[in-house]
Amino acid sequence: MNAIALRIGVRYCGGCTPRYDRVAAVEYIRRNLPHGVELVRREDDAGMVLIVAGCKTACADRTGLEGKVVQELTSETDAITFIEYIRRNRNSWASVPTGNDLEA
Amino acid sequence: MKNDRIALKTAEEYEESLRKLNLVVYMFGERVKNVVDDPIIRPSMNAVAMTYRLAHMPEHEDLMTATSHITGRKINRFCHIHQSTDDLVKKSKMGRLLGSLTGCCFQRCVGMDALNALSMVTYDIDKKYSTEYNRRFLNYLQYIQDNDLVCDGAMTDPKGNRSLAPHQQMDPDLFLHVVEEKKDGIVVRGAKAHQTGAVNSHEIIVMPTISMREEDRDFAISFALPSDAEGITYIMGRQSCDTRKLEDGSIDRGNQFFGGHEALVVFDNVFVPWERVFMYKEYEFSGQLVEQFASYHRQSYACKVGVGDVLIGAAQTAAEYNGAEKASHVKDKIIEMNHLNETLYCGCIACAAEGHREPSGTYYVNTLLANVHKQNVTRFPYEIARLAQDIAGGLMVTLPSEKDFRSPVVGQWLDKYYRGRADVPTEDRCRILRLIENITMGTAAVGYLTESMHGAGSPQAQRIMIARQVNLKQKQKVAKQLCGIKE
Repeated sequence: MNAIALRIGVRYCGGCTPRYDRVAAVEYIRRNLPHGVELVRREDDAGMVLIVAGCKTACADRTGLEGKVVQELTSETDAITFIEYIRRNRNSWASVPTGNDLEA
Repeated sequence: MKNDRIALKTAEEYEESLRKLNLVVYMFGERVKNVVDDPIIRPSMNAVAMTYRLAHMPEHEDLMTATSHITGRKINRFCHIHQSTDDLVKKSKMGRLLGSLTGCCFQRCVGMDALNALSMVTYDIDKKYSTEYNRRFLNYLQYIQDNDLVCDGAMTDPKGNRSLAPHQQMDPDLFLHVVEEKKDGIVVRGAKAHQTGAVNSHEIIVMPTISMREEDRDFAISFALPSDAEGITYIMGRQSCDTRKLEDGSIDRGNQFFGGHEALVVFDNVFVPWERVFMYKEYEFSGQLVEQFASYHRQSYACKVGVGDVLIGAAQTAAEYNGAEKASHVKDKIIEMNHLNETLYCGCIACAAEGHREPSGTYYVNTLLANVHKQNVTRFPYEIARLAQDIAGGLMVTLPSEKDFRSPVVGQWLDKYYRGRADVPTEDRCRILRLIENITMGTAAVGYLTESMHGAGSPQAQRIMIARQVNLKQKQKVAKQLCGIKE
């Protein structure tokens, strides 16, 4: 039994001049997310979308994200803040339906 | 490419598609039997392949892909017609990204610029003459997008005597021209010089090279052909230190993976079907096509910012390996390199952000700023390269070969006497110096320096454009008002 309370879609900017290692930051988040929360590629299955931008310009395309909960990462420290944010709100995520694969 | 909504080849599919071409390529006086695996050409293919590989990477797809305005499919941005200033900005960013990951010219921008320029010119010719060039072009564009193809944008004719117009040349072939008109197409003859990435391309898009008058109407033609069409021959250009790629070992190459290439492309009585002809003797549009292509292509020199990123990284590393990174003058030189490099970036972003929509619907760069950007590119990479050589030290050009380092007799002395900091292997020090040599004097200097000077038009071409576009009268008017001059 593996209950998934929240799927978070990851959308990167293109990475022209990133100020930090965006892929490493996402991996760090993945490893430190609380049980029941996971990062996914498919945004249509996601209850939240994390924009991973290499700088404060955060030029990643927002098309298709209307109506979704969107969080933005523009630095390494944002990764820590994001994990804390998810942990702090983990109980409220438990009731967020995130698609047909809510429970596996 | 199995998904109906996505038209992206993988890097592996791209390589395989090149193997199916039957290109006639000559190098060192002999026909190249296997173009894709030739050790001198291969690094340039690797660089183009990066334009495919990155398009599949989540962390780069936002820059590397776009949505086709004709099919709605996800396509490689190099096949895209710009639909907004955001598209133009992302084009500049994509150029920097690819330059920063390859350290060289990745060759695919020229085709993108040709496609975008033709999307506007074919539309404008049709408006005037009720021709069908734009329909032909859009059919062709969809073929390019659906198959994710690399296009060589071929503009530069050999030009012969520069003081003479095309029709005045002693040999008319010095400008590519139509030699025969048939029911089903035309026959052309001539050549295009300095063709970047030509033998890594699936298609070749030909454009006239200068503004033309009525007497030159046979030279005012634009068309596209498969790169292996009958009658096309490629003669590879030499690059400084090119045969190092044939040597054993890897250190002396500098860049282990990537490179660029140029070729002279000869069209010896080549047939072009009408469906592939996009301009035919509408000489008054040749200047527009040249200007619009050139302005896009001057923006494309965003790539040099990326190569500059690599060179700055190499210079800083060399300073650290030499134990000199804390010297104030070295720090200051690194700052200066960054200052120049980011100033270049300002230009390519600005001309994109200040772009506008043309009647065809295509978004076009701010041409004044695109020319200012390219003018900067004719200068700053040289200064950045000078500073990199300053930091690297003379060893960059006096290093013995890798074979000497591997020699059981003298190798130990080289390892001993050419060590910098004790904790850095001598080989690593050699590798970073060879990379700086590669970019500033070797094969990659073709792209980083001389191409920066002459590619997309030599410096004077930009100065003419700058002079034409600044509003000098307005500047004078305000100056006179402010100091009390009454007219």
